[in-house]
Amino acid sequence: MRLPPFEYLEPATVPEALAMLDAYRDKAQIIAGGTEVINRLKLRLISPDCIMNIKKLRELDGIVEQEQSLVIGANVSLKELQDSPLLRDKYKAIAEASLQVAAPPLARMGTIGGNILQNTRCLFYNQSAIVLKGLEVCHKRGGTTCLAVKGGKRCFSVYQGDMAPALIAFDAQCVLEKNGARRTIPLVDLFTGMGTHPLSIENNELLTGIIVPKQNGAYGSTYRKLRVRGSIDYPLASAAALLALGADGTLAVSRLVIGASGPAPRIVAGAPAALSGKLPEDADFAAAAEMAYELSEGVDNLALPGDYRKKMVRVFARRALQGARTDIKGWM
Amino acid sequence: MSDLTTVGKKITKRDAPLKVTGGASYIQDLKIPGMLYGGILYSKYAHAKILKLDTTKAERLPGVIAVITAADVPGNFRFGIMKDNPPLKAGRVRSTRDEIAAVAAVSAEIAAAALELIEVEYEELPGIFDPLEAMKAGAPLIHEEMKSNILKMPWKLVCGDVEAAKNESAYVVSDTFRTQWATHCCLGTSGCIAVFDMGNNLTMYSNTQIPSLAQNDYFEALSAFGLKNRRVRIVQSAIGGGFGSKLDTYAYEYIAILLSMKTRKPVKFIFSREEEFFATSPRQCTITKISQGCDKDGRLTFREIEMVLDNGAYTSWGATTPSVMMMPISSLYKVPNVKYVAQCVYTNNTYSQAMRGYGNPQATFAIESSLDQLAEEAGLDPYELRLRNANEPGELTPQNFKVTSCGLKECMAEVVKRLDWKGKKGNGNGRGVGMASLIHVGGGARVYKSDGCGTIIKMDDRGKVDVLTGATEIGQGSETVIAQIVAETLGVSIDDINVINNDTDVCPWDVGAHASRSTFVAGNSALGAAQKIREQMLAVAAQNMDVDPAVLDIKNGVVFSTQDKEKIMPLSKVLRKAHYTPGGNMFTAEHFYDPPNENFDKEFKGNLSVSYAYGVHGVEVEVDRETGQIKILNYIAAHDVGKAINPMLLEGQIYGGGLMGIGYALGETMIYEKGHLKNGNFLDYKIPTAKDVPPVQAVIVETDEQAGPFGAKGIGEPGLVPTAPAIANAIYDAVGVRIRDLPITPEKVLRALQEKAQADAERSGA
Repeated sequence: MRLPPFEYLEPATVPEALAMLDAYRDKAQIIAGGTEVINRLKLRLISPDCIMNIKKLRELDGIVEQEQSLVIGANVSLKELQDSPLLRDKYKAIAEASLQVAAPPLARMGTIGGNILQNTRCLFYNQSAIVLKGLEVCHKRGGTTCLAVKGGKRCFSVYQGDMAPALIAFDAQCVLEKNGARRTIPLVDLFTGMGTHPLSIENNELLTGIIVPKQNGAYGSTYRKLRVRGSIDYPLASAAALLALGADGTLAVSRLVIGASGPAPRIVAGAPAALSGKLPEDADFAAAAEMAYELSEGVDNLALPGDYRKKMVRVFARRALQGARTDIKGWM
Repeated sequence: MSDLTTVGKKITKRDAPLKVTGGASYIQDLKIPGMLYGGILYSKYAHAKILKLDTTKAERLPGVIAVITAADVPGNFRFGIMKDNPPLKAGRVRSTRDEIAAVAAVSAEIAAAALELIEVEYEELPGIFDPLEAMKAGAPLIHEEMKSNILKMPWKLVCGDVEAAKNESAYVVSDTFRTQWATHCCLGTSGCIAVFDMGNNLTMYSNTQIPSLAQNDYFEALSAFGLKNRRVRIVQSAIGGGFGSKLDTYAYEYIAILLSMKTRKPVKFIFSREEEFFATSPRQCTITKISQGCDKDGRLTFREIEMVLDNGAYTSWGATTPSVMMMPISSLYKVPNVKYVAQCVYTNNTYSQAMRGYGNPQATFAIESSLDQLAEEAGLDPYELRLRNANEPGELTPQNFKVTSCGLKECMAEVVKRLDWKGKKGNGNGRGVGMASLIHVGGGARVYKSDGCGTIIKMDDRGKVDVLTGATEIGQGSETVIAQIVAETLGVSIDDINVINNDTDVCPWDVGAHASRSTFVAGNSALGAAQKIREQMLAVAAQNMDVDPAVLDIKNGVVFSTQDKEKIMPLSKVLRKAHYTPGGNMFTAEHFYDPPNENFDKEFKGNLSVSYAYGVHGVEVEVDRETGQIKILNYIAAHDVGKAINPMLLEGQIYGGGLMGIGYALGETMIYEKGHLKNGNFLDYKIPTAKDVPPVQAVIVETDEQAGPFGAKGIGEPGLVPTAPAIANAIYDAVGVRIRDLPITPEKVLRALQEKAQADAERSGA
């Protein structure tokens, strides 16, 4: 498959990039590693007038440890995340997620920013015209039907990023900059929950970095992912968990995040209530996992059937919680 | 054989350095001055009438040189073994890969843009995608001129009396097994360049695996297109994998020929990865009903199989795979009474072709899964049941196969030992072991009237050897194996051997790289030619050395007397003596080898191959009861190969075959939605990745096949034949659920586990 024609933009600095974005808006597609965008271009899911390469913006590099947080530049490659001893030691879920993305060549190319900002996917959408020919136009392609759910009134495409659930488990913030302005929002709020337009970033905004707050005391985290093969595959269900103990040795913070189970990564809101104030047992985890199951969508639009993937959210949520508890023990 | 210098050695594949450094020229890399780029417009629907086809706008696009439709195909030409497939379709389309129009343009981009300008009006017709539906009386006909969707190929094999044997059996099991559509996944996609000279002779640059048969196909096409008696030359590029996908000619090749005829320019077609997935012909899905029985001592009494195969919309070699399925059905283990009936059915799906194993994996999945069920019924260890019925040398099977060498029991013993079968079997701890065996043709296969291959050898002045072979190198290593055989026979270094294997103008005839035949048939052909030229050279040497040729031998490029150490003469000198003597001579030899195997008779009986390859795979799996995921902990693949000419290449075939089998067993399936392939890419079509490779032990069992070159038998296909049932049997041993339809995905295992838990609870409740 071939790329469509486009104009190529290559800003040298972030201000220059922001000015370009302001001018081009919807006409420009930002590219960094290209592992997501190139495929979408080839399939003609997008046909932007310009491609703006931000990979050379040095301001977006680096993993920097600050007093209260860790700042990860949007251009940091997945390989750099994998290789970071700091992440492996203190942000295990994030390191684990990075190690489970795609395969080594793609991890060298792909960036954390691009991974977070990937679009939702569906077997009825991520296809070229040659496959979709003869089928009705679905919600995500601007139509009014859903090809995955007969009679579906909305888009059921699935957010299959690995990094976001792990980052959200650590309550990460994302920094969005535009010409003359900058905002920092919780990463979880970057996702609209709508399959047709899953990201709440403005068309003149650039994701420049991720801020991950530091955890204190004894805590543990992990990321678990269901996939058919040992590499390449996007998650078909995933869960990230963070558990932190208070001074009294009982659970003070718990965050359970599920991915690949709807158009956005979701925090399982009821989980802390089920877990906090004690050192949780497997039965408590099962209760939280049940909430994850209830929260997840299982639609037949990816490699394995929807009802199976929904069940696996429950299994992987529980395993992520158990894994996080095991990780705490490393601290004790 | 102990003093072999080249044969039996782990010699690096000759084309490996070129391929790993990017130096090999694949069809993608070839360019010819003035070349045009072709593109094909495929049908929008799986089944429709074409009401209107307008190519005017495409023709007007600057850079477009020609646009053709069915109206431009002379002589109502159709191709394929049933001649049911026109290269461009008119009036009606029967699958989403149906070619409607094609363009030739000055660039690939313009060709693609032109396709979008072709206007087609369709009237969509209801499609039939289930072969069982298509078989029903009154089902709409895929080909209206035929009376039924069931192909007129009555595959039926009857040996002995199955009904009587059934009644006399102590134990009988019956079940139904299904397999999926699966495709070859060649890394090199399909393509060709068609070029005509001033005399309308065709040269086709191609990555076919059947040069001589493709030459014949094109010859017929040219005759139909009004170019009778023209020459056809096929030049093969480096080939990025075949696996059977290039065993038949495709519509795009005829379209390239037509466009080149029309434009008088070279026309190149290269499939995109997506086209490679949906527009080449895969392994078909099958539905297999099987019954097997044994007596109270565990001796097999009968095997009965009824099978339905989805042929797809047109007919290629897929429809003939029952001929190979008959082999394991009649002759895997000693089973005296056999009945097999198979029907191939037209549907609006893609049409099926040859793929590594040629039906054998589908049949063996049913046979070997069912055999474990029978062992349980009879209260026998599955290994014990297999051992009691194992094939042996000297056996004549019910289908009249003459078993020569047979290392099935030795392979079983290797698997049992290396897997710790007795220690690991039946532990019920979520881990389990399973095994499955295979038989495949090991000495060619007489599927055509000839199973032959020719070799020509010539020598230069310096002892360098040119070997012109009909055998096609598709990555399997035939070039290296042929070079080893010739080097060994001539007593020269393998570095002195040059194998030429890619041009029908100079290479001898061969029926193609199929049926695991290259080492055996092309190897025997090369051996024959090498022996002839060796005799010629020794005769001249003997004259010059004044000795009897019978006492001469050649080693390291030097002719020497085995009786007098003083009498030596470098081979290069012998050659020059021949060339530079008045009334001189040149050394060339040719040899055509056609193994003495037999076409099936009218009852589908006969000795299909001169020798048969055997093997046993054993696997230990761990099943995650919460997710249904399967982890392969250990994999033993023991193969009776006769003799390993090159153990490294041979192990490569076993690893590659085994991994292809693991993909077939656990993940690979073509997902069709109303005839549209939804996972035509490597992300969604789950071939195993490097991380999915389990620990595999390739065990080579040598049985010294007398008919084989240096004792060798074929190994190209066997590696994937028993993989799926071995894994399915191991899963059953681990958690007690039997998966009857491939691939064995985790959700099927989980569902089966839940059903079993429910059934167990009901049973204990009652």
